[in-house]
Amino acid sequence: MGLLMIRFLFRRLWVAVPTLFLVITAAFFMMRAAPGNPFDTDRKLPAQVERNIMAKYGMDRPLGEQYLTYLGNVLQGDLGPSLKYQDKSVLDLIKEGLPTSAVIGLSALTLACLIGVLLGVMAALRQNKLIDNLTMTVAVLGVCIPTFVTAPLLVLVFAAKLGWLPTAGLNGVRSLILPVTVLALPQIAIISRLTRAGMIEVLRSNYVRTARARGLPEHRIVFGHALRAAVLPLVSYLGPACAGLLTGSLVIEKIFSLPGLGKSFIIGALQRDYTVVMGVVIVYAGLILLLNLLADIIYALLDPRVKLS
Amino acid sequence: MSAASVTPNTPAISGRSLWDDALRRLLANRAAVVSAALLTGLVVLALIGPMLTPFAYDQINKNDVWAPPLTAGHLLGADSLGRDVLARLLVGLRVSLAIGVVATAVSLVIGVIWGATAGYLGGRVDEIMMRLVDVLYSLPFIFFVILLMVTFGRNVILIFLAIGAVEWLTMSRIVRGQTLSLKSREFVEAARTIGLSDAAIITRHIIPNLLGPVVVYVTLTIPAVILAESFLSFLGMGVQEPLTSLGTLISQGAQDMEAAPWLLIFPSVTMVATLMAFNFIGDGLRDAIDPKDR
Repeated sequence: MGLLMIRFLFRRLWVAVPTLFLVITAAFFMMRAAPGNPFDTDRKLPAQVERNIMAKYGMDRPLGEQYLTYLGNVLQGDLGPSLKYQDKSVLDLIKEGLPTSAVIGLSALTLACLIGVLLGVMAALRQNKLIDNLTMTVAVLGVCIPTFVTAPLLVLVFAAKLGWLPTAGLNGVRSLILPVTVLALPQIAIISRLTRAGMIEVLRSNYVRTARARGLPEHRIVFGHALRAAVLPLVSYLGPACAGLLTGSLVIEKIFSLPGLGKSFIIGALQRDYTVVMGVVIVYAGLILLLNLLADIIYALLDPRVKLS
Repeated sequence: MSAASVTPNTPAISGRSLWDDALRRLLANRAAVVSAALLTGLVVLALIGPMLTPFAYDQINKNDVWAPPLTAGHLLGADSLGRDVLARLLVGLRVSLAIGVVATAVSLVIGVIWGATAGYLGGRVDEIMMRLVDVLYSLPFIFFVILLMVTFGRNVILIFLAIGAVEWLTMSRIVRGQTLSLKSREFVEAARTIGLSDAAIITRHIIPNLLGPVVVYVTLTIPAVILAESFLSFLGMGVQEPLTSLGTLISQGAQDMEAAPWLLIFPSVTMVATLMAFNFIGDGLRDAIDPKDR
């Protein structure tokens, strides 16, 4: 297993490196093709001043040379200075924003998995009964109501009217409840559907019938035998789920004015802060690759038929 | 399709084709039928509604600022510039539906051709083509769509293309899987024996037989695209004023929700109804075409 695992990791790394390279290249040239530059202000800078600033950041060099320089710096772990925040490097900004985004994203993912699996199992055990139909209708609703509708509505009810939770900002655990809930809702919907479908299929399988014939109690059949196989489709959904959480977090951070990475990205893109945009894209792409890899490993651990290859 | 033309047409005994069966199962699905009716209504409203409203969607009425529903001749109220919410809602619905359909068409064309080619040719070509899809899959795509908007300006055509170019990946995977199982079937063998070229076999035999799963996925992609567009609009990178979309309307409504909740409620309800209708039809089609997954 150990050797196999190492070989598997190397193979995946072999795909991850070109992917990251592609991400960096595409983001670099798209950002540079955007009209304007980070030093545009309402007042036109004197030509000499602008030239000096450009020279300071190496932006007077040919684009290809800048690209190669940037690649070299990234390889050494240097993401450069922010072009808008005078005294901050991109790494500083990422260190400030990443914890917030990560806490919200991971809490939402955990919450979604727990509730989603529970709902899915319940629905599967009562297939086509009231609770199943109810859960699945709510699940469709969950997919169809966008986060930017649920977020203002929940804020209106729980923050503005009832005053139980803060409306926005980052101030203790209570301020995270609404953002995490909003982010988790659509994922709960998808996960419960996946679990239901997986569970229904597994409950029909021969080994579950054997377990029943041996007279095992229902809860041991469901949680001891069936669940492990039933959550397999869920594990392969984890990769896309993370992408969904990222998309959602852009909106969530905006609505709840949270100082996360998504916010830095949007502001950076609008203000042409090239290095910040690149840095955030690299971090996010790296995270997605890492989580996909993790999902594959979990899949192989859960399903002994799958060899890591 | 090609298989159907082989069976002789005898009017006395009308056989039931797979599609007849599927249609019967679909019509028995109440949620899908209701959704189809609802969706038809919404499409008709989006097409002819804007011509029937007493106000134009971009007409500013200084006296009607924040008019609540059913006052000053505004059935659904007016916004901060006194523009009629009903007129804006209908135009927004039209734009959102159009983006959904066109972007899905883009993803359909790319995805079907890519997936069918990879699946049919197999071997090394398949390996390379699908590896590329894997790589693209793991990109944070929303970022690239945002970068596209920043680079080329906010432009409806570009939104179509950008979202369509993102959504084709899943389509190509589904199509490839189906093609792999189709290509070993007898009628494809037969076509190959009579010397048809690969391109002809793909376009005339493989693609028509992919129809079932593709139709299902299309009905599920349209709402996904509508959702993606509204995310962009919400972040201020979608459709540009005074033109509007459901996402833009919701985004503006959320800002003023305490003073004028109708600005948030009506677009949200329309959006959710549209998305739900598509999802129920998609689920119904899947159950109808492929009943074993029920």
